[in-house]
Amino acid sequence: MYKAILYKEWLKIRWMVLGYLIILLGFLTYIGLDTRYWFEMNDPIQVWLVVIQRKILYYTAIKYIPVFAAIVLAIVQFVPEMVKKRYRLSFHLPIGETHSLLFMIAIGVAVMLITSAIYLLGLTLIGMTFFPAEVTRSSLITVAPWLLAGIVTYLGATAVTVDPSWKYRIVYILLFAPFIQSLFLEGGYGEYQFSFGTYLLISLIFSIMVLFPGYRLRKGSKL
Amino acid sequence: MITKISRYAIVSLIVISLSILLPDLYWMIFGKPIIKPSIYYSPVIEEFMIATRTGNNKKEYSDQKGNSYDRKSFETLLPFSFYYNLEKWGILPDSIKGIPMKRTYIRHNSQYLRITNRAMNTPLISLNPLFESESDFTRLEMPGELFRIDQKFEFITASDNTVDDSLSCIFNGALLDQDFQFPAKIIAGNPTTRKPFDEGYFIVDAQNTVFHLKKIKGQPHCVKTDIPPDLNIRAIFISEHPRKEFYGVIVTWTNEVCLITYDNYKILQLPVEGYRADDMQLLLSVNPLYQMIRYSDMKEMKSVVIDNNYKIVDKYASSWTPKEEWKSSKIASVLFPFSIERTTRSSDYVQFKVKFNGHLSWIGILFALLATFICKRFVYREKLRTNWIDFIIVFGTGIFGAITVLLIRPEPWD
Repeated sequence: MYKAILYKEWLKIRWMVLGYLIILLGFLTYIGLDTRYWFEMNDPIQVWLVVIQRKILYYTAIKYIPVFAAIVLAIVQFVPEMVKKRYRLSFHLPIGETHSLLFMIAIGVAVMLITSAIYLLGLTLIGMTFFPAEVTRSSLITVAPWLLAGIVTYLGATAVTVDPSWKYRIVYILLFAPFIQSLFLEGGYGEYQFSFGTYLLISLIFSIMVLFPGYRLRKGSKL
Repeated sequence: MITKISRYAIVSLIVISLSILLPDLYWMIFGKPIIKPSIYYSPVIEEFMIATRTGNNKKEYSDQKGNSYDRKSFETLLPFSFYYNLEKWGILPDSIKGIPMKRTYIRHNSQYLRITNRAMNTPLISLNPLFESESDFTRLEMPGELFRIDQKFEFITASDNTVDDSLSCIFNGALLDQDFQFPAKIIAGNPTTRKPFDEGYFIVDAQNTVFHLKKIKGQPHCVKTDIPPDLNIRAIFISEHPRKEFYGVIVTWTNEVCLITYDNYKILQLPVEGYRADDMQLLLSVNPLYQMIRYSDMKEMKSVVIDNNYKIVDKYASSWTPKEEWKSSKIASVLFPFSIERTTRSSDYVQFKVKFNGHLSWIGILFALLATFICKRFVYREKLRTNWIDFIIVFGTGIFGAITVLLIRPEPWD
């Protein structure tokens, strides 16, 4: 049964995943080329000092990419299910609604995690090519909240898509936003190093969030 | 059951978001700036002088006894701070207490060193340029490499991002010759070419010994200083100045502030009673006659004047109504039982700090509980017994919980 769900999910998200990978690799290439251009046009030591002392983040181009990708992923995965209430068909499957929903979410989170790994790998390669290890390490610490924001946005967006009522959808959109925005407050590198654990723990709450909208969908709640 | 928990997950997230959003919006409307007075010390009347910015962008000038002045007479009494104006007005005296009042002399003998709490709480990558301290040329030049001191001393060349083994080896040897214990705990310098000359870096090793490292004619010059290892150093701020009286300032974990003097690295403790490095800003301003230390947080400012022998001449403390005692703060305490602070003025680190608003919050919580009960019982006509946890949430989180449980309503559970 799970294999069948996996296949169904794959059919829905494959083009999106491919598109995201192309965009992500494209942006990583852009950052690599842009950094190389900086080094070509300036004294290399000045570039290092701008990054280290003035705390200019050379990778801000990919700051919001995980969040945008997460919203698109949730839409391509769940909007087709919501159109004509197709998702209600899965209530007749020999698998509980909770399990099937959580499994679908797990697939989405897995996509976000795999792409996050590529994101980190790309940044590591760029960092190691142009900068000392300390700068590369700091870049990975700095982007961690952005990647977490991607996963949290995905989980929030699934709840928004699955809920049957627009009133609830609007409340979710308006009131998940301040927490997600909390993950983009840095003015330089490494500023979340003491609070990232707390943000990560709170983000765990998002993991089971979709079940309530799922339940409301099954019950046909109109509140 | 799990769907019920899922609802509480959504509720708790929305409570968190509201406790960020609502207090932020509230202070966006009712916040006002805290205007700190500017405190000076007049060598003419030997009194503290105070300039305060009032609401309509005007300034009020007075002395410590409360006599008020106009701007010109105020500045006339502060010749070391406003000598350029006095010179323009043609009233700069020839000398004050034997100090010649010449523009170049005053400028050469005036020094400012600011220590902000933000500078103490900021992430830093410990890679620094080591300048040539005794160059044949006037201006300092940026070297082509940065150094790190981890398990050994290493120079990394920027042009090819590799370690310069031969140069690293020479400097590593110089540190080892002085019994340096790797890794370095603190590397403090002034890594800019915009300074009159270079004094290199003060480095605290793993055993808390302080070393002074410079590059002279391309070679290492390392001194093991006698700065006591038990000083419990938190941060060192270096500021090269032609007066060559002190290299910089040490701030300790016990909030002591000491100067590192040119007199064989002798330490001089500054009289900064009640200074708290995490909350306060400190400014040391030196003029030819006095040194003045001002340190302030959001409630008070203390000023101490010392003479050139580091003896206290005079002290002055001023304070203003702290934000917690504003009427708008009291209303905020009633409205919001807590708020979540993410960024502060005192630190570059992003936090997730729950700030409770004290006992006034109970009023708001009672109202929130009452409103929730009335809404649920008479408007929504919900089964209160099956969803009693909603009331516990409102009890713990006040207005945030009330808004949330009334927006995200419980379902008729299976």
